[in-house]
Amino acid sequence: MLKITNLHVKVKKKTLLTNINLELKLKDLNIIIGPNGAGKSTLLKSLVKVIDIHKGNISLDEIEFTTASINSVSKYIAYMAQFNQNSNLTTLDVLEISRRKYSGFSLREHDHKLIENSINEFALQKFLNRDIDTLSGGERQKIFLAAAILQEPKILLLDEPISHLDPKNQIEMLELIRNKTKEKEFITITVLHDLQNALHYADKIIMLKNKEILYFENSLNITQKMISKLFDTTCKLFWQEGHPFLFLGHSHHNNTNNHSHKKETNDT
Amino acid sequence: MRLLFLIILLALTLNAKIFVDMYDREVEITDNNKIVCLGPGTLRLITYMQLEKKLIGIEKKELRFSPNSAYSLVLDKKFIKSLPIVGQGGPGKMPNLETLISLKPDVIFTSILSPKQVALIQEKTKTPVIALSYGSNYGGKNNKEDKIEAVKKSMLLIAQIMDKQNRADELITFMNKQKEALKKITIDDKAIYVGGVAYKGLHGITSTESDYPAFKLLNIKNPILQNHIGHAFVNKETLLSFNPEIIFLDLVSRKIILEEIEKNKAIYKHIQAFKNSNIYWLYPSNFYNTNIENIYINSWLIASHFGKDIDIKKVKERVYKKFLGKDINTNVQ
Amino acid sequence: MYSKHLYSKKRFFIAILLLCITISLIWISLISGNNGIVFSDTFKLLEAKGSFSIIVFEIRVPRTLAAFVVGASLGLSGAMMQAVLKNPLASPFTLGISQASAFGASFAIIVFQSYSSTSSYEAGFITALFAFASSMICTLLIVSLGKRANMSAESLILFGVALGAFFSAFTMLLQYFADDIDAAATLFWTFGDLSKASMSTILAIGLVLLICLFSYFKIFWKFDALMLGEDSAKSLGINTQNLRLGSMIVASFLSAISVCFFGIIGFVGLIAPHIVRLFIGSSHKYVLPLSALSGAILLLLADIVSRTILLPITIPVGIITSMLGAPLFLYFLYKRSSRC
Repeated sequence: MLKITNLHVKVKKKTLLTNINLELKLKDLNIIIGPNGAGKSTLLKSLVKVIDIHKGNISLDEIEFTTASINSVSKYIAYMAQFNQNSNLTTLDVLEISRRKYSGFSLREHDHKLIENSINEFALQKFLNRDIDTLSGGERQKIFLAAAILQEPKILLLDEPISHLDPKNQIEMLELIRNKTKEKEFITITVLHDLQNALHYADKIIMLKNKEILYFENSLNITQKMISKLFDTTCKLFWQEGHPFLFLGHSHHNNTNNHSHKKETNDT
Repeated sequence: MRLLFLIILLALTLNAKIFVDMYDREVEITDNNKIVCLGPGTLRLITYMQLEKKLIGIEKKELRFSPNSAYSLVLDKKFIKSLPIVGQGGPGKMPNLETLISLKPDVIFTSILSPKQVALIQEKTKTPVIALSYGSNYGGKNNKEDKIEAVKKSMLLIAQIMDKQNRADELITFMNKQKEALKKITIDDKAIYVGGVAYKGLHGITSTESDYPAFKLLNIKNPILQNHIGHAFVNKETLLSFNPEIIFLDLVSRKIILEEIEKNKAIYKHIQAFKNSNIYWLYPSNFYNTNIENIYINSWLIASHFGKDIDIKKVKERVYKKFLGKDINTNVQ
Repeated sequence: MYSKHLYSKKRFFIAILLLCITISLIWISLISGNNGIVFSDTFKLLEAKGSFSIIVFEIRVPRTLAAFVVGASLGLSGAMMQAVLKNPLASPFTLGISQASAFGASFAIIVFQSYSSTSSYEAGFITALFAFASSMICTLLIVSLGKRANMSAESLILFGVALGAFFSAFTMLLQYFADDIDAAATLFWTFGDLSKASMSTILAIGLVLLICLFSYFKIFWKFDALMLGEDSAKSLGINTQNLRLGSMIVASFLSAISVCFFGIIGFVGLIAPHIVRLFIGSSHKYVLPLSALSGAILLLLADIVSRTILLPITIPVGIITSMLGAPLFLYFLYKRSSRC
């Protein structure tokens, strides 16, 4: 279990996060949503120590993160940044880096095995020799996800992993993330802008607004009111076949009665 | 000290001798039949010492055979041109080391190459290198050595190495006699200036020198350079305000100077020396280092312009015959 | 196993090719000299005595070895700078670090007259120390400026060029007041020259180079990680600040000792990594050592040209590298601008 207590993050006198308290369990896919500037990326970055913590406590089971070095913390965490710079590294180079984190300059049998499994699971055989900046966005993100998982973390942090992907790739990625979280027993924390997908895939939703946690709820317990408050906008949330469907703002259509939609309006 | 003595003793028994060159370097020399000259002025001194036939290589710069350097006119042109080229020549320019190695000279004489360059040449070619000197600002190890003194020492050094003691004595005795004779002349105290002195190239009137040798022999100072030692470019304004009564100009820069005077007539006509036509040409002082024979000729020439009764033609003939073996018509431009 | 072998094979092949080119150039360098490139001299190379063997061992062997170690040092230095500054235009020359080293060395030689009183080893050491100290000033300026997130690659190079001009000016000033007999010295600091190569300097540079290459084995993957992004690299447990500063210090040191003994040789450190990346990509497992090898190749080539193109004169090798390197540099700039 990942415990975050009373976390405050400040950079150069500017407060980025206040009063963050969270308890996150294994095998949970936690998704952070919220308006811009709420502090979503900051939360991830402070966990992996890319940003310094001002006050508070972070611990994974009995291991203290707060006082640990960036090196020791990184052993437990894999972080996929929002922007990955283009470079002419090949797919294989990128995958190998994940293992070099542990093995240094000479990869062992074990590392090669893991890499091979990863290639098979993510179907990366075709692009092993190719530079990653010659690949499409979707393929690239897959590789970065594979690389993150290759690090065998306990905590998986993903910052906007699907933002520039087409719908098909988005679904593919989210399925992968969810499956892997369950399979490898990660504590996954993902930042998403896409609310629909967030609700759909998350086990838990962390709603951040104004540098604070507004709500931390099981995705099944999300209400329309919560969303409205989070984004300061009206919305409609309804369920069909056990799946949540979110609709923000007002309807543009004149007459809801003339809708050919066969939705049930089951508000909660 | 004892070690040095032992080394010298040992060297002598091995038929090798140790000499101290003008950079205070101890150099061991076994043979003296084949020589090479590197750098400005080295060949001139060798020519004075009548050793040019021992050359086995030549610098490209020495092929100019210009009347601005009288010594080049007494060289056997055919012989010199037949020699292999060992380098471009010029102050501070390294020779072609591979050529030097394949020519296998016994001694390499140099001038105006730095101690580091000299050491490098010796190390790479495995040939003894002797650094000669023309004194301050032209390669002497200290900045105060008088040019003529340095040249005398260099010639003595060459004499020791090449077994030419008589020739060195002959020249040095002549130079000393000239010095004595010139000392006796008193020059009126007038505002005097010398311009057009060549220094790493030809320059105009503003190029002058503090210890101008021909002045020195007559005990004249170059008053425009108060504290400066060596070559300098003076401001035109300084020249104007100094307003010399008599100006001597180096013939080597004649062309440049005439153009300059033409261009700046307005300035120059305000100077006394120009107004009264007290402008006189002197024999080239520097052209690939200093023409020593011209120093003496120039001193007599200067004295003659101060009213002393001197037969310059005879002086020139005597000096040239002594230094170069014959009187040549230099026909300087 | 997975088709890793396919790509590794290509890279491996290129590495072998570069090695073969290096050996060929070493051979050609030994048979080049006064009479151009004389292939029949190959058999004479093994002669034990005679003037030809003096030529080979006193002149050509030192130059060849010097070209190798200096070229390799500059190539490696450039590769490291380009990696940690994430700037493909970075190199000891374009960042002003070479010029700073030249200033330090000039200062030591002229102000301390370090060759007159002390032994040549001590003198060499003092010169190298000053060259390094001076290069560090420049390096620290570059690193602190390079930290600025919104500074473009070109801007950093402009800054480097300005620094270079600044240090060059001071070097010229020193030369102006120095004993004017060393007229050639001024040229030496502007365009490096391999003619002073001696075994002690070659060994010194070679030793440093070897140490650097061995340590690269442990950390080359960190350069790769840096390429993925600052945050990504940090999340992999890499202290990016230390990596950047440490690498720049090592890279500056490599170039400083080369400069202080052989003068400024430009563009080798810039171009060698580019050539390697063109054929091999950015994996630093290959880029670092092969940049060293490419640098050696470039300088060996330049040295051969400098000794044979204007017979019987030997042109300072720095002139050749600048004449060939500057147009290439312009070409890179042009490609970058047309891409944006």
